[in-house]
Amino acid sequence: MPTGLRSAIMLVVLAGAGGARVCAQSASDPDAVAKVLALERLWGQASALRDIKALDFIFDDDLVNLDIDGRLMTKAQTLADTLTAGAVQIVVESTSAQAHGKTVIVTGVLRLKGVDAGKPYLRHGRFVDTWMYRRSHWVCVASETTPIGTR
Amino acid sequence: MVADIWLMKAHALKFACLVIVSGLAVAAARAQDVDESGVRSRILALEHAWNQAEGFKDMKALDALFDNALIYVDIDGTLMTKAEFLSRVKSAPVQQVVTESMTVQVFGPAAIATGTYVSKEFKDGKAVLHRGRFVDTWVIKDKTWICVAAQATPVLH
Repeated sequence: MPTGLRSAIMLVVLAGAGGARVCAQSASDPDAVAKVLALERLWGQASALRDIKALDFIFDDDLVNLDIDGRLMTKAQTLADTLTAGAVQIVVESTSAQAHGKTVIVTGVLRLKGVDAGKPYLRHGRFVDTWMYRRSHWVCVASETTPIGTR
Repeated sequence: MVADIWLMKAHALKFACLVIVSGLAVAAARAQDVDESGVRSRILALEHAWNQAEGFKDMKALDALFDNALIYVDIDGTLMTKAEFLSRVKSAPVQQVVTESMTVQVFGPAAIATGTYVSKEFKDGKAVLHRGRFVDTWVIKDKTWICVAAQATPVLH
């Protein structure tokens, strides 16, 4: 099974590549939104390269990560998962963000493509990430992905 | 002799400053603990109020809990605005929601509530159970805590 949003080694097809679409909208702070969306891209790249140091910088120590299977993970578990998980291709189809003071909410749609126990799978999910401006930089404090159309 | 007295005074002053600074640091840390504890209680109360308001279809109470720019992701991945979510609550069949566990993490002007729940709804005369995990983001605006994002994910394992 996929191990969740960006918690595996990934080949991320980001905005501008493969026809992916990124649209940003801000409630109050375009600068904050731009920075956070850049960090979202960095997150994808760091995961693809299993760059734990970069991910450590992106995630708050108290990160709450709920993956597409409903697994709740801490920062340490998320980083460990990134190191051990199998290859997953993630295509981020759309992303939008809203600023609420020192908090930015990013939401988007992604597709996960990979192989688990020898069987290929394709999953479609919607994610919501919460970013906060803490100690002079933006960090992700919560991330959650919900499978689309599985009710 | 005069130099010794000055040295003693300087040491005493340094010690006094150290005591004051330590005292202030402890007081600040305690105040933060008390404040965080208060915020946690407040968010838990708001989450319970949400459940009750949804159960009673109290649209006025729900309207006050959510930011106008609310992002709501339902357990099937449907993205909804505040208006769409309120409309769905209003028209949905009676649903029982039981929160099994909940924790709140405070990040200054924001708080993340995480928990698990079981919902029971009736479709075509049959009871359908869903078990899910949720993550809700609350921020303080105009001295009021308000929910800006809420998402549920089915627990598959």
